[in-house]
Amino acid sequence: MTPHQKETIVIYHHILGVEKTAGDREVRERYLALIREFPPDRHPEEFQRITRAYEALKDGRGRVRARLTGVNDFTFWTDALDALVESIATAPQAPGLDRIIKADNK
Amino acid sequence: MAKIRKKKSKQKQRHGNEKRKRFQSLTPDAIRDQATAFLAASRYRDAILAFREVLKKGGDKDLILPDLFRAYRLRHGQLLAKKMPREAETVINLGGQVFEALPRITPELLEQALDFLPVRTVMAALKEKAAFAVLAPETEKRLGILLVTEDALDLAEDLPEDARLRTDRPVMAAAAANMMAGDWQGALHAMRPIGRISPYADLKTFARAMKAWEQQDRSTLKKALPRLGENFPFKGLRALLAEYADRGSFKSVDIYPDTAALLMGPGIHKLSCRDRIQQHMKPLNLNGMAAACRDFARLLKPESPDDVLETLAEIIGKGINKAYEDDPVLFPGFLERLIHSHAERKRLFLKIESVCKDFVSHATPDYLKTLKTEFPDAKERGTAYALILLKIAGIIKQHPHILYDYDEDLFDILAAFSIPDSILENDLNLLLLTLVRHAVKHDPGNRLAFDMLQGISAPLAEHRKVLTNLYETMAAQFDDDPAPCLELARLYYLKNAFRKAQAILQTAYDRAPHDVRVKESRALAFVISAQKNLPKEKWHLVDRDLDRAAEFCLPILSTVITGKRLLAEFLKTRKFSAKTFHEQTKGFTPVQQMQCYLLLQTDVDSGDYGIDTRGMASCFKGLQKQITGLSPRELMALLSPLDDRFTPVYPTLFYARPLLGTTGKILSALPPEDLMSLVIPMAQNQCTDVAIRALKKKAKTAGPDHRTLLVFYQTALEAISANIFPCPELAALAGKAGPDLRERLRQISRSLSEVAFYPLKEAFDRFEFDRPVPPGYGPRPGPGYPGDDPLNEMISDLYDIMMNAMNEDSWTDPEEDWEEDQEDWFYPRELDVASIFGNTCDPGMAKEFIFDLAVAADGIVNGPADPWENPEENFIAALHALLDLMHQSGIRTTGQYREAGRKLAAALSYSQLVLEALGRITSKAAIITTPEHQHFMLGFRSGA
Repeated sequence: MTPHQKETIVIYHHILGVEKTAGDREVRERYLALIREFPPDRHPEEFQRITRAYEALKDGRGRVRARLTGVNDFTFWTDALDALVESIATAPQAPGLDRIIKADNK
Repeated sequence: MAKIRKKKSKQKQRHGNEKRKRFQSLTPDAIRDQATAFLAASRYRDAILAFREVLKKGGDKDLILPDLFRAYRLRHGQLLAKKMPREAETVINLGGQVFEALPRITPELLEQALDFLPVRTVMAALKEKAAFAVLAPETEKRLGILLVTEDALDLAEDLPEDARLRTDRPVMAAAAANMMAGDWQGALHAMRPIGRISPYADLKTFARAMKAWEQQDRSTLKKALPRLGENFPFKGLRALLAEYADRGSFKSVDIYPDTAALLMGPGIHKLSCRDRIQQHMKPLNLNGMAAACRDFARLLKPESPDDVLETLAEIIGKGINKAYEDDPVLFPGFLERLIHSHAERKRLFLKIESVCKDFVSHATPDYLKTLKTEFPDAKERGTAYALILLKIAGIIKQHPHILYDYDEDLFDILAAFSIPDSILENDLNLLLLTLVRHAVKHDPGNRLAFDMLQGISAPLAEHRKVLTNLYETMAAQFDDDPAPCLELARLYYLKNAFRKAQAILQTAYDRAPHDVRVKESRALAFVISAQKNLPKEKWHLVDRDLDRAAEFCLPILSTVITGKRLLAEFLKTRKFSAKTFHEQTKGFTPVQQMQCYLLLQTDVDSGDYGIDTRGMASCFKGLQKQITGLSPRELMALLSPLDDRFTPVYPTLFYARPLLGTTGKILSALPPEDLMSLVIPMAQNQCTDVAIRALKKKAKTAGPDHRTLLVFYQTALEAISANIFPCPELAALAGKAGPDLRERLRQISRSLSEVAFYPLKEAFDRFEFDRPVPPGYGPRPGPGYPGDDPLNEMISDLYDIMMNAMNEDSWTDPEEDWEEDQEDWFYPRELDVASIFGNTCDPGMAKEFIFDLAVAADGIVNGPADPWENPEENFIAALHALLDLMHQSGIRTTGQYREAGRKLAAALSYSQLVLEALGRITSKAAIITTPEHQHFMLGFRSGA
């Protein structure tokens, strides 16, 4: 990871949406589910991000590294924060009427 | 809190009772007038009280109930505005009762009822009073929407048979199910029979709008939204969708946060959360920052926000430490506000301290203890240990001065890893190799550990031994990687283990036959083999090996192979032949020809072959004429030294030495950067004078930044060649430089330490040129130090200091008779032992040992009282007895030893005598056997 790259391994767990203590199998299953949801032809950037995260976390050593020294993987804390922000999806959703009513009542 | 609430409730009750009492004296009409006045003044609660009082006093229900109902509706709105939903709920119940009790339902009252009452209550009242006739078309529309949104479509059956609300009900029932599930396309499809005049028409339009949103179809959305009636609910949703239709984004996210999150996912608020966190960093607001982090964590992972909190704590911890320069209070304060669990807070704090800082941290030993909980799996824990060790190795590699400072934290860390701290007495490279070796022990497959080996030089045999072991482990661990095999071959060649090197290179070739580096090394192995057979004059073997090397067709080796062929030719006749040279090199460019010549001359100059060199000088001159006007790139290709793989092939890697001559004129064609890249090889090959001259010349024409670098190099080389220290000129250059240039100078300084000697070497490592290097501080990294044992140096330095002190202030009088008053002089009667060695130390024994030490020191300095005495032995014994006593008294850490040494020296009147004895002692290694002893002596010196 070069310093100008804003994505850092500290957030890879969040990109895959797995617990930090997840094992090989869980990480792989989650990765397969995500690439089904974000195939490379329709979501190339998302697919690359997911694949990068998977490559880093697919074995135990990578996961330990991400957990332990991932925080050293960035130069500026704001970059890491931005990367974390980027890991939150903001796709348009079509909520059901019941959820609309609930939100309206709030 | 509960008490306050109770008190307030009592106050309200009293207030109501007082009002009721006041109403008792009034007539119903007067009370009604007052109630109407209350309504007009928005005092709805008082209005309700008053209207109820009128009813109690027998007021006209037909007149009062509609007003009371209106008052309830208005009170409901007021309570909602005050964000009192529970109270509003009560008002709905009470209002519902009044609505049911109304003698007559007017269209106006029905509209009001639909504003706040549940549709089931309204429908029940309508049914009871058979008042469906009051339903105006607009009211029907509102009712239709409410029947769907309140899941009460079944009530439509109560309506008259011809009512559209009833006739369209089956269609809407199917569509409602789709709408609830978010299937807006399905809902729209189901609502095809719903016409424009249907009371459900607005719902169909709404479904169309939602489908358009789903498909991001702004034009349809733009058309659909204005068609929704005034009374259509979901104000926030409609506003956001209208904004999206107009501008493609939301504007009122903060006004309707829940609805916005519904439409875009919770991530819609991420930017505002991020901004909040950033705003709270400067000026630092720990509470605000923690609150923003919690919101952010909930946004990102609503089901387990703690997971995100840890990541945020790590990120922001690093930010706080950087922005506030490791203020010791701020980050723990932030953690306290962010993480509730004390254990978790502590673990995170230790983690950040241990792995995020650019220096060895005192927190690391404590953090290592927590790893068992954090990584219960032994293999993962091993990886964690290895990573931390590598981190420490990286820090030491980056900041070698840590070793000189004898950082106590480093001792504690090594102890935590069960690494004997005696490795700190070794040089930097061996220390780094030991740390990597331990990392590999914890996690044998860790590639980062092997990557770390790349930058560690191994000048001594003991380094190479460790390095060989590590690469052997790596070669076994990564059985498809040729890199460790190549490194092993290099090390084997350095050990002259040619067969082993050949074998491992064959392994590398088997692993990656198409790898260029492997091919080069393999070809080079044949050249090395030929080289070995040259002095033995086994020409057939030389030719065979050189042919094999040539088969690889590697341009980088062509001049080397031709040079060796020529050497073999000339060896056969013992004579240089220009004709043969030109014949063999006729396919080469002038630069290659020159390179080939220079390589040949390097071999010939080694003196191993006894070739008649007549004709070589004229050949060289001829070649020199051919290479005039070379581009800087071509020149660099000629002047750059060979890489260290060629060590077994040539006696020196800087083969272009003859080209420089005595003036280095050729260097003037090089740009400053290229010239600077040649400085170290030139200094290593006795061309310092040429380099200084070239640098001086280049500095005259270079730009300001380059000039500083060139002058720095030049001044450094001058200092190195004359071994001048301290060097204020270098300090001044470093002081004047801006941050970037200073960093570059620091790198240059580090590289120059390779060619410098103590104390300049240490100064280059530390990048400090005007401060005297503290004597005896730590081991001297790398080769090139006078003396093998740093301990000896330290003691010599102590001796020098002592001698200087003696010259300034003569504390001895040679005429005095010491023997007579020895006991009086040396016995430390006034010494406060407890303040120096602690309460648990036996003062009698301590004074005895100090006395023995002083007598022995006197014996060393002034000669023993008895000729059969061995004062040196006594001195060592007394010192060790004293150190043991200190250890028994609870003095354990290096800091405690240092402090005790300092206090003792300050308290004794003859500390200088002890120091002088220490300087004169011959068996120095027997005195200081552990770092604790060394610290004691350092403390003693500073106290003296």
